[in-house]
Amino acid sequence: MSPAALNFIQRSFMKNISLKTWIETGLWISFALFGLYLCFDLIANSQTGFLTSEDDSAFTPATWPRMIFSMIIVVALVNLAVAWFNGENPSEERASAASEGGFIRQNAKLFGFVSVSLLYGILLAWMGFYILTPFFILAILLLSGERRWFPLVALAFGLHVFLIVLFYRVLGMTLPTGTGTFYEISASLQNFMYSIF
Amino acid sequence: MSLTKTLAGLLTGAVLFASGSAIAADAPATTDGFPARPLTMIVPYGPGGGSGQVAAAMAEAVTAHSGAAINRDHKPGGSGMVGLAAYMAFPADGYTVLEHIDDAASAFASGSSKINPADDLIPLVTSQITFSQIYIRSNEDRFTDWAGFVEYVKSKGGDATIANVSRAGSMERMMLKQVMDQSGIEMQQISFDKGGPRYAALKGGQVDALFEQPGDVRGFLDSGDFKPILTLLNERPGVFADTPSMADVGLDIKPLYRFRGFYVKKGVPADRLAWLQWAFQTAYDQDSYQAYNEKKFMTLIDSFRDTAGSVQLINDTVGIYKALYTELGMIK
Amino acid sequence: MQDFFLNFGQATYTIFSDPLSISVFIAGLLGGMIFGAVPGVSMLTLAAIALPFSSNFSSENALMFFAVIYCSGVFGGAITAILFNIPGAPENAPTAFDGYPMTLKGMAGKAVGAAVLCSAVGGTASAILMMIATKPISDWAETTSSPEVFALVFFGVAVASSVGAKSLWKGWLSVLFGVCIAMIGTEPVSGSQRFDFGIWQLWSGFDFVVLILGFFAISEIFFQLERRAKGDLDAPAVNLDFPTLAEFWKLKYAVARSIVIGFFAGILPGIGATLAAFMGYNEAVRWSKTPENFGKGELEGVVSSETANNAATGAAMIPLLTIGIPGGALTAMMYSVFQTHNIEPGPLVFINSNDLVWIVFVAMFFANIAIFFLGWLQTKTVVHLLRVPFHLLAPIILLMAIIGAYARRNSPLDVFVMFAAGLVGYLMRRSDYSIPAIVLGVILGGIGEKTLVQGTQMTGHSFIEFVTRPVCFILFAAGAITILVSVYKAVRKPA
Repeated sequence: MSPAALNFIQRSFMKNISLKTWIETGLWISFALFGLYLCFDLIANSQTGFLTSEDDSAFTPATWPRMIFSMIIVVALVNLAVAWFNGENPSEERASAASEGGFIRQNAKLFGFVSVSLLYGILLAWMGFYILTPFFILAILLLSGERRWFPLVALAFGLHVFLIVLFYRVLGMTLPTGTGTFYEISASLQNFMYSIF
Repeated sequence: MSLTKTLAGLLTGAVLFASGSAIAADAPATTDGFPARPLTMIVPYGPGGGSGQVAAAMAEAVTAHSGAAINRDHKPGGSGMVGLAAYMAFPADGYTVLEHIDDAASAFASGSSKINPADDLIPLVTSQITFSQIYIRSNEDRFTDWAGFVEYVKSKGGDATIANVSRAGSMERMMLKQVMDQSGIEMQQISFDKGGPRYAALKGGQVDALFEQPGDVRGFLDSGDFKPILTLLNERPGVFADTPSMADVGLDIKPLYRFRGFYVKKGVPADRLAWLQWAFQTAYDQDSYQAYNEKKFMTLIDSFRDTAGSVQLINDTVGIYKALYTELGMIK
Repeated sequence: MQDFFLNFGQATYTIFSDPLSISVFIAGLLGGMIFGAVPGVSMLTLAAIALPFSSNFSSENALMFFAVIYCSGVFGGAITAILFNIPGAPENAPTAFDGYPMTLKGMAGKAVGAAVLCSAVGGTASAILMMIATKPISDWAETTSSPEVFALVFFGVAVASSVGAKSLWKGWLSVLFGVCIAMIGTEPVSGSQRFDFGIWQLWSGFDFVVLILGFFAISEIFFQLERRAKGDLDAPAVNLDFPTLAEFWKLKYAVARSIVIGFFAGILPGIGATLAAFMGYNEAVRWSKTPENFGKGELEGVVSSETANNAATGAAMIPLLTIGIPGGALTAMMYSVFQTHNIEPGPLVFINSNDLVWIVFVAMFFANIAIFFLGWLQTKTVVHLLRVPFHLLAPIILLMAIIGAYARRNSPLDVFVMFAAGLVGYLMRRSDYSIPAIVLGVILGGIGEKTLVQGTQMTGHSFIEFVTRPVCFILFAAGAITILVSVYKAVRKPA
């Protein structure tokens, strides 16, 4: 869309409210409506399912959620209304919205960091802490631009071994072992740790 | 457990391990030196409650006499179902054991859990069996005994209050429901999921009565703040000889027990199972564990069941719950 | 009074007769100061990382550790606020208003010196007030119950929602979002599962500590990474330069005023040190003969803010100990420590665990005194620590956070939840929502629903009976007035 068209839409339809505020309001209201939709399910279950409250209570498991979700809708709309009547100063946000294409490139590191972290969270249950973590730390360090071998080895492996010994062997905490083959490897690692000291 | 204690325990464990199997001379032999590393005990409740405490006491006793360290892993939530579900994801290699209570049996009876603790799991030992009582404040002047309480509740027409736990279908709710139905009374049950606020509500006069097990309120009984007015058993156990039982007040109810025990997943190798049964059943007789049970009023009725006894207990319990749920139309 | 000194003496003996306790005390003191002062992490990061391991310590040492890092951490955050305009925690934000301009004027030493002095004075005064006031308040609290707690939660939310976010509405949305997070799991009406989306790990809801780690530690790492991509922070030279006695004497009213404001603001749950600091600062501006100097490097601004936020630390213990409502993120973590050690904070805590409560009191008292003596040492250390590149600190913080999140319930899903919370927290912070408000929503939401259910059951489902209980009435009215006033101000003032 051309800047002129954006400008036109902005002035005629969106008043002085930034795109960001519109999106946020939309997100909040959809979130709350989804929550209210789930509440119907909750009432149905609590009345016909096994877990019926024996008390003849004014309260159902859906009472509180419905109150909160409705409040979210009200506050989000008030937020929008206040912006509508009092106006916002959208210039700042429009500037950043215009350079949206550059945003991802500018924050490539950040995106890498976030996706590596989320990936770690997803893979952890399957591969376990013992095996997966050194790769994760290595990835984080490489992403943040570290290329010297000593910090890479020291933090990815040295720190890892130190923490495993400290938490598993000394403090007696369990760490994620993974499943299947990964469980076997982690378990023999644990046995090994108990066999050496 | 304090850090120093943990370290000391680990050290002792290591020393005992290094000095050979002297201490565990009577331990059943296992093929590959099981356990080669500490066991993990899944506890489906928080560290502070009855389960958390019994798990700690049992783990300590097992470690002391067998030399095997145990790491406790608390997974509270969903009335014990979170811990149970998490436990079923572990392999049946004997390195992970489970603490659980009668909730596992009632959840299986209701159909909300598919795991039969007497069949999908192998009970190693049941180490605590206890009963419930109804308590009032000792300085209460509107009523002083069960008969007076029933009178009072009737006069309030359903507005009298009793502190209880929240889960529908739980041991607490099912017992109280039967007591209320047979006594012809109705009370407002106030749900407290944590012990502290539940006891504070009675002590502070916010509720008229409390449903609880004696071991959990022993502090208040010893201090004279609370007193029991009804024991939910059909006989009177020693220390509570002055408190009427259900049979005494004309109630015809099969008591539901609160019981806590330790389990391992079905499919564990036979030699490891034998070792675990030995470790846990012998631990029950250790002085440290017995002292703990004593302190928690767990010696008033026989608290010990071995594997076969536990299976019997669970099957009986499941039977009673199924009958009750069916009668109340909660299951078909 | 005799009891007072007996309890005080006993707790002092317990702490300082055991080498392990002394080490924990010192570790907490230094840890809180360092974590509070290093930009990118805060005392909450340290507390969140330490929390899962508290079960390995005795209850005395675990609680003492948190009490000490609370005091030293609130102070530590002032250093970065003054030197870099990065408040270590929200409660240090007003400190930066005048502290950073002072640094720019080359008066960093004096600002830091004033922060050291005022933190120690405010904190110590608060600790003494706390020791005197908690027991009477606790005795009174025993006569209150769920309805009063709900009313207090309502009031706390009413006030808290206006703090931290850019606008009132975003503050409310932040709180409500937190309340929504707290709904997931087992609901308090019939004990059944709610909003679990078929995932059994969610039956017990989200773990509070995991969320804290995500919202604070992880989102901070994301935030710092972005910040550092845009230009590094320079560490200015710092010398400690205490204000002269004469200068300090001139500010005696500001100090006294901030102690009173800080203490009373601290008592209210959900407000704590942050509002205390803002209120202390605002009152200083209001009472000043030269309000136009504030924001340009006025020493009184630093003094008011730092005295008030430290004065709130002791007061924040009162609702935690007497009714079992944590007032903020750190007291909420202390709440978990109590529970981990089988103690339920609330009216009975003085009966069941009197010695433990006094250890918290005494630890805070001595921590505040120690701040005065260690402040100079810390200032030097911080400058060195700032030379460690952040990208080398990040993996260490990350690993500790991962282990910490997992250790709560040994659930790998929690590690994922932590990272997801970090991302959500990061995005919401960028859009001017308030992370402390979300966290408060999580805590107060759970307590709020539970006590509302209990309260309606106790009052026989009578709304009138609920609202007209005397304490409830006052709190509901105060909360309603707070909301009306803040709404009026927000609507009247052009955004």
